[in-house]
Amino acid sequence: METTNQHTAQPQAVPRSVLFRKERESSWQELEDIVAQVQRKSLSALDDHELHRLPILYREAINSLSVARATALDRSLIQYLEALCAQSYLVIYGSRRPARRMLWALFVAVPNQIRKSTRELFLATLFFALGITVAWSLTDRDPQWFHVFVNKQMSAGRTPWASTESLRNSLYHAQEDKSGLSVFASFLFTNNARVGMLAFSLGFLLGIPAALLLFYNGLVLGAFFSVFASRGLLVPFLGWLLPHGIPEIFAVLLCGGAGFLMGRALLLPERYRRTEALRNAGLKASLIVVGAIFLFAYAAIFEGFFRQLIVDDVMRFLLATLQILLLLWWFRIARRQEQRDLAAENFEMETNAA
Amino acid sequence: MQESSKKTKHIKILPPEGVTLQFNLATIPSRFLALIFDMFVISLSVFVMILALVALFVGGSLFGGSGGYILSFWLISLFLLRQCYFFFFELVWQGSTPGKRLLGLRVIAKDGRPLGLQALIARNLMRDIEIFIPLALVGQGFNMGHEQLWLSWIGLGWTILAIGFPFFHPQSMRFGDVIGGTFVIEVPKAQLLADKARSTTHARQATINFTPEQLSIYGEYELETLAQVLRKVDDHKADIDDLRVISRTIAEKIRYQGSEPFSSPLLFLQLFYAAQRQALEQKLLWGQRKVNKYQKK
Repeated sequence: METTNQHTAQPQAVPRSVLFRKERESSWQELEDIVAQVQRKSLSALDDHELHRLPILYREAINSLSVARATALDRSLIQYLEALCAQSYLVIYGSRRPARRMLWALFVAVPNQIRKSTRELFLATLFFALGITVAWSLTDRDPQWFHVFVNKQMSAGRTPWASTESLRNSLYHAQEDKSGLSVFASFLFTNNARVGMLAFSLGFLLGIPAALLLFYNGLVLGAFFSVFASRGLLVPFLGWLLPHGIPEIFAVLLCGGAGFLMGRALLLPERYRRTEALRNAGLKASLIVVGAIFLFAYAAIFEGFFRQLIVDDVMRFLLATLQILLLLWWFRIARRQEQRDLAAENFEMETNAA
Repeated sequence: MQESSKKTKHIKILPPEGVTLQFNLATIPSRFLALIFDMFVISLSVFVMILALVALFVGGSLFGGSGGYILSFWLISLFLLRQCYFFFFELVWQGSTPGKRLLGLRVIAKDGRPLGLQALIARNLMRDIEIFIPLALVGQGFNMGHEQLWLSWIGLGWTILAIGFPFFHPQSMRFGDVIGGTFVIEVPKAQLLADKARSTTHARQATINFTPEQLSIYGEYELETLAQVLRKVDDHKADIDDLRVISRTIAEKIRYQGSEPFSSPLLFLQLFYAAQRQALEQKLLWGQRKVNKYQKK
């Protein structure tokens, strides 16, 4: 076969993919540099020119990938393009809005989500009210029941056998010094927040833990209601309870509602698959739980630092009203923002259609 | 080959450009390592906080202040640290925490769109339930003695269930990933290797013209293997004897009778690779694929 070697006058055939790569290599390299810069710092580190080039280069790379997959027999080339396109995809489609605007979005999204979950919230209120009624009526009939519902640590002497005077004192005077109480409040907060999160995340046990949580909290409150009401101290007790109780009880209801949301998704997934339904519900419920944690924290701060400072009944009820107004205000801002977003979206759709 | 021996799972995402992209899912051990590292960072900051707190407490009692505020500050910041560490970093660092960044991992949304706030919250709320709370339950059960031991068992069972779940999930998702609709992927690394067909083109003075019959024996698999051999030469992992054996085998198989396989095996292999690739790619344009040497026609 010596003859084959004589044809050396013909130039060596070059694979097409070599030429293909030679033509495009520099633009891949440019994209690689931009992407590396974004990964090291952030999108905002790019200058105008780079920002302008990024999507163009990305489309070129995607194009190259699809051609290379079909025609090139160089695996390293295809692997490179796959990784490059995947990286650029994450940079272009995976980037989020800045964190600060996200937090505002969160602040607004929480009340809007709560408003859309009124059914679950209603169910939660029902269980809570049931707990209150059961404990109240049972303790009224036989004070021994009190110990079933409230443990010693929590009652701190406020039992059916305490004197009316000491009960009244417990409403108007700090049991310990203020610093001790703030520890108690922060302990209460972390504890409450955890229990609330538990109710949410165990929601996929058909919402049963959520129902138990609500019922149990209702029982404790009902037992106290019974004790104070029997001495004619119901109104002062409410004055003591409501300023911090409004955010706190609302948060408990929210946690329960979040749990029910998850439970319902599992029981009645409607037209979705169960995992999908659980996911949809989980996204909604997590927002509600964040709201609840926020309210727990707010209530704890309020309880720890302000409660013992204000001992006047009228002031206390005024504060309670203020709490309700604040909550309503929160819902109102959120509602407004949502309407504004909707209007902007509609406007955009109309202009796109035109 | 390399890819088939490594058992990494991947997911496919179809961007608006209409070319499917592949992402490697993070392996469970690497995710676990990232978690360990993050926990280590958290414990370290807790430790630093304790030190600072002790200093504050000593300073406070010197000035007659009360320790209560410090203690409550401590309780709340501990809570915030544990709850917000993952959330904060995944929010600010585009889906990676220090541990994840160290291991080259990243959280992405299942549908490939930007990672939503709700998804982040959901997956991190669930983390607490999956690991921290059941472990606390275990501890609580042991502390409270015999009657409460069942608490430990529940906590232990729950942890095992939560940790075992990703092993059985087809995409190794944990509970939080399922609820949040997220994947944890390996950040793709792009590295363009030298084109082995191009390096011969500048050495034009030596060419061999293979006949079409000689180039119709091997397929894509053998071509890729040859490319890997040539890359090994670059890395100085193959010596001249290996190359001689390989080129002799090839020459025998394709019935090539020149002296190059013996005199300059590397040059022969490079020229053969370029010619073979050119021939196979030419056929590919006509829709004819030859996967390996066993495939007839």
